[in-house]
Amino acid sequence: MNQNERFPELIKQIKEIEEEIDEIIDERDALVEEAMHKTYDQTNPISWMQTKANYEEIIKLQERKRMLERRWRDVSLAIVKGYNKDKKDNLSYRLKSGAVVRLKGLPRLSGKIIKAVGRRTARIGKSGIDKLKRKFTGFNLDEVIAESERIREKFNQNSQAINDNLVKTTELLIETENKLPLTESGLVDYSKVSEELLREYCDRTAKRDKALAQTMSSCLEHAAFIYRKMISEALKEYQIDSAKKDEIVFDFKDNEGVYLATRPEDLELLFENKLRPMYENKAMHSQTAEATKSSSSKSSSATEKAIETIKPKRLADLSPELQKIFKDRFAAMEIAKNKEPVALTDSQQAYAKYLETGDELHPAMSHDEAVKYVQENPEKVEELMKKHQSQKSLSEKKQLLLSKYSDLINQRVLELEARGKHFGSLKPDLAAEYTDNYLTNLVRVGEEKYGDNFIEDIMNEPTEEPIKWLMDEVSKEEDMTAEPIIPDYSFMEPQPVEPMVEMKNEETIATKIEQLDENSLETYLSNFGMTSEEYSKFNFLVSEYKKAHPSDSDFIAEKAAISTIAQDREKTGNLTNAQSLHNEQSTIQEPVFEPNVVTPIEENVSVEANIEPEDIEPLDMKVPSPEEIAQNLTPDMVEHYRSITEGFAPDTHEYQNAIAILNAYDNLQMQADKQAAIDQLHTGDKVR
Amino acid sequence: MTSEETIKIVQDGIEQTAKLVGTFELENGNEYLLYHLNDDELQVSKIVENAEEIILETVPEADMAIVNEFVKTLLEEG
Repeated sequence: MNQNERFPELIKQIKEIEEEIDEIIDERDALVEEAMHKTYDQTNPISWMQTKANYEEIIKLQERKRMLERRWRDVSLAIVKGYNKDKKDNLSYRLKSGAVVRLKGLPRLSGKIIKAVGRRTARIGKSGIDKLKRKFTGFNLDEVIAESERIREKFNQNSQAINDNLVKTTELLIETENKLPLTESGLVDYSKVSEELLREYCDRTAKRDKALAQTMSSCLEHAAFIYRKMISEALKEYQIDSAKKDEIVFDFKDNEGVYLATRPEDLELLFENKLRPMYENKAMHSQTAEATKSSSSKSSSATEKAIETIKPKRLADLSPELQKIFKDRFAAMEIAKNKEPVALTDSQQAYAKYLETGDELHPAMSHDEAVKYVQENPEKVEELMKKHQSQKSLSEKKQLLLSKYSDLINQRVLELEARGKHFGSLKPDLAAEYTDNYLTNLVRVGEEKYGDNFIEDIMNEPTEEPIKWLMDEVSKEEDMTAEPIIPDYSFMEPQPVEPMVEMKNEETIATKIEQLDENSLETYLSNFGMTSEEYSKFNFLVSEYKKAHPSDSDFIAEKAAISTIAQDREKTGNLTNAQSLHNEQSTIQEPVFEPNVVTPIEENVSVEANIEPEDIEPLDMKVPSPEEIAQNLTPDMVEHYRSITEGFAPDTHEYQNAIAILNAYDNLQMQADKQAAIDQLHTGDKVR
Repeated sequence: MTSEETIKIVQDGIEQTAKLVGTFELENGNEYLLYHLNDDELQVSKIVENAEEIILETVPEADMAIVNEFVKTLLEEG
């Protein structure tokens, strides 16, 4: 039986992921290509916004690609892990006779020498053997590994091709660089460079740069960063290739190398730092040139060095089209510079502040630039601010809610805090967690019920129904005699606001589980028949409990975890008699099964990694941020969090927390890659 | 790494290689091994493990019905 027949769903998933990744790569590369060869006009907000939107789209594609790659790895891992999974805890059979048989795989016997005593039982012919083997082992490991490797190899072909391209283009560039004539001081002697060679150099540099950008996992962020870095370091000489008027090329060099700039940021910097001063202040230009000629110091400024060797073309020497471009830009800048300052409104000030902070792709604007942009584009700013407001973050929404209904909400939390007797009272930070979770639920459920503008509606234009619902929620009376919530777990998963907690006067499942001793708990666990999702949650809850209560035994932690799982099932009506413990201890040890049913209790292949408690950082009661966690992640922990994203639904706290940590981890990795790329660029990619 | 996991079975001084199929456990705690020798019929033996060695024993009469039912169930399920 081949892989496709054995794991049709997983294989289908892998193929779909691969296809989507291919599509994303194509789309992203097209956008990168466009971004790298497109000019934009900073004085034209539409042009600026289009360029920005283009970059944002690329970033989104990159994020989606990274997410898919993680998913691909998880699915592929699931295939391999499935084989190794010890199934003893999740593969039991209930026979018609009522007996329970548990499959145990092939753990400790393999490879041993075993003594056989007496007659062996022979009951089944050869034809049944393969069928049975699959029951125990699931599939042929050799085939799985081969298939997995094949898929992985195919997946890597793209990145390999990109890497090969980088090597090839770099070699070609170096070949051209070696042909460049040098001055005695080792700089490129542009007076002796033929036009043909220069074109070849430009062409190969562009190709190499493109390959470099493609090679980086987040190519655009890296490329933009590197280009900015290079250009801001020093510019010396420029050449304008008027033949490429659609993609104006500035070729310039400093004392370390020669660069090609075709990107908008480069043009901006080139224009601001070099071309404008050169054209505007020819007198200074001449003086500096004279001064530089007499100086052999390599430490003088980049501009001085540039002027030392070049004879820049005058504006009049440029083609009419280029002259027009520069004149328009000078004019726009002059107009902006001479405009009377206008007092900004609050929203304009806020937006100017936003521009000053910049983002990953665009350097932050200076205060003056930001103010100038806002002054020149009041309508655009208003529109953007409106959009910005409508995307108010969840934390802002919660803050608004709390500020408006703080008395009621705080009262509610205090009540819950007072009832937190199951594991001791809620500590202040857990109470804060709980409050936060509670507010999240209010916002979430409110928005589900009344739309995305729920918060804005109740804050600004109160309408009867949402307010009434909110009042009902926050003032809902609780049965104070009922079993308390379990504070340690209440914030791990978003609790539905309605009903908040099912309270009953009768003895609850939590109380009954609490009464179990170690033996009866073990029996209870083995008979519980957890699904793979429940099993993941169980492990997670146990590890979290142990982090919060390191001195407690496994037994206590497991009891607390299964209590939560059982309560979940009870809420959904999925708790059987045996699981609910209505028949007391004797029933626990001899579970009652439905007669005449032969059904595997659970034969899902779980892909969860077995995370030992020591694999997880001890819990600081001040819950660390995802960024803090990401800084100290070991490979095992990364795997652990990835397994959580596999085992939990996307709307659960566990899933979201794990995703946040993984994203933070990826960002850290990206930063490290970026730095490495920059270092490489500084050491190996420049013409000496 | 191979998908064929094996054990050496020594009986009456003769050593044979058995290919493992799987192990299972009944509610009474008795553990059984499914295996086959030289592409021969499937064998079921009780695993008895002590500190020194692992021994394969004949399926006790008391467990025979459940073992048979279990194997039959597995085969029926395909």
